[in-house]
Amino acid sequence: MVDKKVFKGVVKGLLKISIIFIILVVFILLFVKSLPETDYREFPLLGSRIAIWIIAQLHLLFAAFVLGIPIFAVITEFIGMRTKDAKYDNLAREFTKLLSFAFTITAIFGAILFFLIVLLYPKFFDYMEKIFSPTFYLYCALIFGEVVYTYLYYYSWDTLSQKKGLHLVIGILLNVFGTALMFLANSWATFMMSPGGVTDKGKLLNFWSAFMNHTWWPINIHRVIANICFGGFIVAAYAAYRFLSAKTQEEKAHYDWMGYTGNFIGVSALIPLPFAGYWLGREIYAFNEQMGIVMMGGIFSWLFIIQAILIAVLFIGTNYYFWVGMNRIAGAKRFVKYQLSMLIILFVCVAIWMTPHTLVASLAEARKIGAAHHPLLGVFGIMSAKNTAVNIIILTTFLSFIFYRRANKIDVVNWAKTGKLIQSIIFGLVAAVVIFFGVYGYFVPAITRIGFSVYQVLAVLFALVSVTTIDIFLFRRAKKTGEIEWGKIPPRSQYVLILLAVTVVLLMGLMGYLRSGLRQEWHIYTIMHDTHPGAYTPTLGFASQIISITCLIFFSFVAFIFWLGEKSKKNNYEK
Amino acid sequence: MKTKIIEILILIPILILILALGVFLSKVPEPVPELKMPKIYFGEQPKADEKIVKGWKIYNEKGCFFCHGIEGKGDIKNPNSKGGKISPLQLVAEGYTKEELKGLILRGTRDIAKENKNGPNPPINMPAWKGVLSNEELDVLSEYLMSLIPKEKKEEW
Repeated sequence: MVDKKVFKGVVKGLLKISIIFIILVVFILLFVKSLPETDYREFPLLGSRIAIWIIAQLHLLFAAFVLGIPIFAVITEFIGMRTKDAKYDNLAREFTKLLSFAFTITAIFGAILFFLIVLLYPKFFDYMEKIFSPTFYLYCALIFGEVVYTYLYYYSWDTLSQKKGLHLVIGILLNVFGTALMFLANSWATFMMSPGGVTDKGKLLNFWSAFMNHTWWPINIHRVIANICFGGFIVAAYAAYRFLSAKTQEEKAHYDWMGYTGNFIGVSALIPLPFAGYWLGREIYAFNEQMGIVMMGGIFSWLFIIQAILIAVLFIGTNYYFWVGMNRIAGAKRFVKYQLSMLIILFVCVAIWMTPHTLVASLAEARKIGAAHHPLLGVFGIMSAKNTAVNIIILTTFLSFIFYRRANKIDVVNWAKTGKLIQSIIFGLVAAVVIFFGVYGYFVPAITRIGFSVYQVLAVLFALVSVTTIDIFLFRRAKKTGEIEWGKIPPRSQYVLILLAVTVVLLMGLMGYLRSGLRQEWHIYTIMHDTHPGAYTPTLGFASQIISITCLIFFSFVAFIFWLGEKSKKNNYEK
Repeated sequence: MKTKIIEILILIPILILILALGVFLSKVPEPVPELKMPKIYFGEQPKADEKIVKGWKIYNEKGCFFCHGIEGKGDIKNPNSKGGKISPLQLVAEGYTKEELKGLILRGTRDIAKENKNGPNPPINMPAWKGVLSNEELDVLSEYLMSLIPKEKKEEW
């Protein structure tokens, strides 16, 4: 007899998505189709643009949630299967539980977004439908698969407890379908930004060029990494929330460990993220240099100062979390002496990173400065300085991690001294390479300077891989100075984890505004003009308000999901 | 039995996806064939060996004639440059070796000498062709340019 729970769970999921779909179709057929034909319609009070912006952003944030968490869950479950440690399996399960509700919210926001686009921007939707209608079949099939696997993955946990391999296959399929779904939707969004395969009047010449347009792959890769990062930080925030509300030491220990694991995955994905961002930026320049200049040197250039501050919060917060966490590890005291110098390095680099090239100054102030750029700060405002600062920040964070990793270990291998010396030399050399190219960049033309960032990135990646590899062998069978005392971490560290999750969401909102704003007065860049009377490119100040509001709404929903998770766990305990 | 149903549930979305993939592929419109512009070559095809003919084609295809004139005869204006015109290429063999010429093409000439030092920069300069021309193209192009020297000039030498 089939496990009824599994079957009922899957049917429940399908029913939910079908109801949302039916409501959407009914609304479109009864409401939208009865309205007189026009290019644009107005959304009351907020205006069409703001309404679409907020709903699209919320949909994307939840989509990142339902895509990021399964990646996290499958990795954790796999580790649990290999190490036979039940806490990993429990962690994966706890998070999958949150997925079903998050998935419903994602689908509701997706349906509202679709409805609003059809209702408010009919001319734009008609055009997109003409180009991309074949993809809608795939989209529906992928949504169906995503629902089935999400619910199957959760509800078959007990049934397949003895067949972990098969359960992992479901998890992997869930990720494959989810990622394919995202890739498909990315083709629509990236087409708006960097259209291909159409004439300058918008006539379709080659579907595949429109589908796999210029920025499609860079966005795909960037979003996959960003989703892992997002998933990790959200898990950490959930753990922090549960840690702070925990009643017993056992619970605290569990959620402290969960917070650490989530943060570790978040940071691991955060480190390669800037490199994926570079690639995307490069492709934007390659597609349309003007768009690239608008992004980096035009109206959006100041956005990168805010971005720098937000990423700085992520890195400083992560380092701080590592350092506070070391207090609960016996034997970690020997590394405390390095923290002050690392903190100074971090702050100096952050200060350089957030230095604008051109200051907002009045004429009188500009005259006092004596030039368009401040004589000292202007030097730090260019890419050479910023790339150097970012790479040094990454190296410093990596060093924090290495200290954390070996905090309660004492090496026993006979080549330990040589190994550590080699690690130090690698660190020193790589830092020197990064600084050398940073300084040399001032003496060469811009086009050569841009190429230097590749050498800097490669050097840092080399350090990450080689030092970690040496470290693994160096501390194999190491003598332990004590166990990590999970749960004995001050509450302030947990607030940092929540801050990191909020910062990631703000960052996603900011970059979403950039990606859409880059099109400026176009629905589809250079193909379809935005002729709506209220069309404008929102200022950075206004955008930051909308992003903050969206972030607040998102976290209100997330808090509700967390509360549901807590409630269901309590019920399970009671049962 | 329990897992058999689960296995079937696993397979259903895959089958539906394959079906959708089939519909998707059948709905994708055939690409509109690209319009192929006929290649137009200016001037008379040189009656010389194959290498020089290839160079003549490259000279036309890459648009060198826009600035240096048909068959390198020049006469194209570049205000405020020395002489007010872009240098013709017919006598290039008198001033450069083939290797020097190759270097010149690859590097381009960013700063064009001005007739009036206080006047504006000449609007046209020679772009660098490094990374644009293949080694073979560069070789045949410079071979062609070296062959442009008029016969009487060759005999004078």
